Amino acid sequence: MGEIIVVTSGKGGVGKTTTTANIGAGLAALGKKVLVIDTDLGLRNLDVVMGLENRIVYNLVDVIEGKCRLSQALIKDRRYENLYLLPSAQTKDKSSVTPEQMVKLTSELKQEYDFVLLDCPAGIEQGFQNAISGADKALVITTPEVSAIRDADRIIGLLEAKKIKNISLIINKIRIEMVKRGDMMSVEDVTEILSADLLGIIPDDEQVVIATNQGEPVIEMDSLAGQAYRNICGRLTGEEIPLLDLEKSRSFFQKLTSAFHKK
Amino acid sequence: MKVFEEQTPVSSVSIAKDRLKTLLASDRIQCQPDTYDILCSELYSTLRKYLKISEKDFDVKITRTKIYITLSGEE
Repeated sequence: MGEIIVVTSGKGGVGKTTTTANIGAGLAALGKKVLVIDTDLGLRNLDVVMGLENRIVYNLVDVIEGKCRLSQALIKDRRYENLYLLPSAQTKDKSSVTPEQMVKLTSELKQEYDFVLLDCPAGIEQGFQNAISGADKALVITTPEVSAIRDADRIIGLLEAKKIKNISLIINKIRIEMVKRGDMMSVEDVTEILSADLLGIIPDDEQVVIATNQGEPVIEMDSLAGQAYRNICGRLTGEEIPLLDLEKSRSFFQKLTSAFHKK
Repeated sequence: MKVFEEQTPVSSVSIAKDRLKTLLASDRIQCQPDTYDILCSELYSTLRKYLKISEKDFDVKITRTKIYITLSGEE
């Protein structure tokens, strides 16, 4: 019996889709059978981040409406044998799917996959309600910014109200040199404010942009963000992995420049 | 005359944290932003009638499911 995990955040642009793609790839790399579903109806993105945009024939709405079989809509990843994408519809709106239909679909998928990751749309409207309806677990993505934290708090409250007990936090786009300077909230600040369990931290890393440009997963790259995602995947499969030490991994040059900037 | 008097810099993180404290409190109980401050001062004046407390050791914390009143400083 697999696990249904919704990746959500409230605010847009904090890294839900990138995180879904990379956790999907990372879990597949660990040998798990994984399905990622783009639930953002009307604004599909996950296919592009994964570099699978040219292969779409059918989509989530077609499956739900019975226009095709599930197997016809699934797209196999180029890199990982056991990773599949169920893309979103680009021309339908959020009301084309109901929470009940999502519950039915996810409970069937659970039988076949180890992990089903749902990439949730931004906002708290129907798209969000659909995405969380079948979830066993929620990953709330935030960045160390006031607006993103505020939305994350709201989302956690809504998830708790929907009786989703297993909620954990991923803090994305951390810039350690700014944290050091007192110009960015630290991991401790954010977890304390949100009083939530922390699953992982991801540094603001250029490699994420580069990987996304190429439609490749960043977990395959020799980068800090890649390591961060690999750690998160390890934890999701039950391994105990300490948090990434962002300070240690700064380059000698960065440390030297910041030493000169200090008063 | 000191023209270039240096101001004590306030870190932007402490500003962010203060703003979030008020913001989340009002989001969590779904009230106006200043309601949290009013609530705190009313709770304080109520408790003060019965307890020996001072403002600096009185704190109200609103989480997503609970409201905590903390009293410290009793020695």
